[in-house]
Amino acid sequence: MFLKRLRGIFSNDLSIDLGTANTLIYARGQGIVLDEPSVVAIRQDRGHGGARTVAAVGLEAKQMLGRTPANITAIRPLKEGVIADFTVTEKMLQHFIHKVHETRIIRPSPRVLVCVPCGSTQVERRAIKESAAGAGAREVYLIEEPMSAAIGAGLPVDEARGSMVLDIGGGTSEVAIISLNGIVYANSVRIGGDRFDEAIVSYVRRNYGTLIGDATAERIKKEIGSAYPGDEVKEIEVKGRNLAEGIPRSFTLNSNEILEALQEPLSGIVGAVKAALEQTPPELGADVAERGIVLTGGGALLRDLDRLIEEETGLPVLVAEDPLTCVARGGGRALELIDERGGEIFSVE
Amino acid sequence: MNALLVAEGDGETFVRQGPGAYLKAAREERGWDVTHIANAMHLDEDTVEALEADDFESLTSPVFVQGYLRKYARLVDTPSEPLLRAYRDLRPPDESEPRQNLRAAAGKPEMHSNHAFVRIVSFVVICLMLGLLFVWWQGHLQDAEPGFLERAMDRIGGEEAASPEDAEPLPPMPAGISGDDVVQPFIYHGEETADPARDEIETAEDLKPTPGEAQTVEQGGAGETQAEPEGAPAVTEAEASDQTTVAGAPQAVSEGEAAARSATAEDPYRVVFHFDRTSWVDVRDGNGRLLIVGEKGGGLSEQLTSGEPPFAVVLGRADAVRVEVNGAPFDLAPHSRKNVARFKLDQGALGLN
Repeated sequence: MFLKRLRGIFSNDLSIDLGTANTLIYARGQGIVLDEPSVVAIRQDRGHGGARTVAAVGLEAKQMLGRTPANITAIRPLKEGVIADFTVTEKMLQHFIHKVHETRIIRPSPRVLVCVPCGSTQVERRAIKESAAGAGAREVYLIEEPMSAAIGAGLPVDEARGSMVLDIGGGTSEVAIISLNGIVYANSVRIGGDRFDEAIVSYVRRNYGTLIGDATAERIKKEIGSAYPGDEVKEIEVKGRNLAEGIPRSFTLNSNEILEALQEPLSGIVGAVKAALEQTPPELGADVAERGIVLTGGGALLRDLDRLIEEETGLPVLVAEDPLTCVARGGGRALELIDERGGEIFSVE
Repeated sequence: MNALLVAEGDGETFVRQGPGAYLKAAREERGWDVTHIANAMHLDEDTVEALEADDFESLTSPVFVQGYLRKYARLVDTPSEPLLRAYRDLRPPDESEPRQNLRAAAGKPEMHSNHAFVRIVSFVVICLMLGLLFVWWQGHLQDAEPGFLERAMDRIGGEEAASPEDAEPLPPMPAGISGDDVVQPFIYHGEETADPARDEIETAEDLKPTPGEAQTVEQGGAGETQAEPEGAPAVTEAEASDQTTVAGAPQAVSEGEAAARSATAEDPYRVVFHFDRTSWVDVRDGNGRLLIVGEKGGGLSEQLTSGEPPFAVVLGRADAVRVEVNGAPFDLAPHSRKNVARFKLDQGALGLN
């Protein structure tokens, strides 16, 4: 305990957005210090029962996804916002925590605040807490992602006015109404960027009889993906394995096709927003109607998503500045507020 | 009012107005009224008017204002970044800005963990802690295994004693020679000694010599012999330490001294532990063999008659035990610490010299 405290002197307080797609770390006083994919490449030694070692973590590991030999497996240890592989998550966190600490003299032991989906169970939260502690954290706090996203976006969460935030991550989308530093209503749907990619893969297989990988689907989404029909139609050329011929073929997709492909997951998100508005107390609903809904997370970068929700709800919808880092930044700010005003200010665990 | 930079095509135009006023001008250029914009943005007309009047104080928090400006700029087909920059210039400092900005404004240099001073301090602290850990470990080792070091030392000593040089029989010395390199008048061997000479000694002991009997040690090529002729000289314990009787040179001593010598010869040594109250005891001989061990109840007495000295003794409750060596009380006080006595009974203490 004493050694951990001593090591804590040489460590920075960290806020970790442990996302399904990306892990972001905000170091107190330094800003965002790490933004890497939540991917780990595991090498299995030859022979039965051979040792498993970490071959690569983060960006390097993501480049291996779908391109690994038999003895290496590139995996994403988080699924739908929660831990799917505890040991690998712990290793990944350990790697990231070491990476953000420059010193190598003393093993870092920082205070860590981890953002968790509001729909996660106690068991899932416990797993995240244990994982961070196992990675060397001195103290571990958990904060719900919508609260962290709202703080990071700059919403006036401490006011007696309703603020609505929609955080669309890789695995989940969280919608919440916040007032007076507390969550009045929150809901989490297991739809996020990954489901968008899967929908594109599925669409291409169904309509073109061609199989494309997740990485290609993500590239399509980022380049021509759209949530609302626009005036401009964009096109992209992609390569995939033709299922009938069994050989790679090149073909062209346009943004309207991708819009069609994304209809199902998008309607799930819109449904979650509408359900939240239905459940919101009238006074807070009026505040939201007056000021609008704020979008955060990587999903908010999908073109015209704000316009889709705006049209569907009739409320102003705004995309936060730098939506990808809102959760991590909000967690960092929450850590500062905890120090200033005490831990009871937020419902951290 | 700050200058607002708006990029227009390849050139740049400086507009001396706020972002709201610029957007209003763009709207009017297109012939749209406020209601059109308010409907498109799903906002109240009042909010749009406040936005166009650059009256940001009456609007809600900056995150919303920035969102409105971005959306309005998109509607009038204008780049939003210059407008947002102009808004940030006009906006009063926000309390929710990250703390590091305040630190930078205060101009305080921030010391990171890679700073030389921090590294030196951490190195010193680590050295200090390692030192403390070593000291603690040493103390812990001694507490956990009492007599461990002593046993190790005794074992080394025993090996040295059993070395071939020592085992070799000493050449006969002329009578009357005394000093540091004296030959011991009485040689005691442990039970485990597989020396033929030892059997002879035991045989001699079994003879139970009477007081006044002379003790002779004959050392030569044939081995070690011991004879106790009648009227042979005896040596007092005091003299034994610095004076030796050599074979063929009997020396007469006083009657009292002879009596003392006789007691020793009967039984080489006699160590008795009297336990007044319950105490823990651990007695090991020179080979590390346990002779007496365990908890002894009050009123018990344990006698030590066998084993090869020196004896390593540990008494767990020193004030509850009395020790007698050859009938004389042995003072435990100098060897006690925290009521645990640790001492060694060597040949000198046992009166075997």
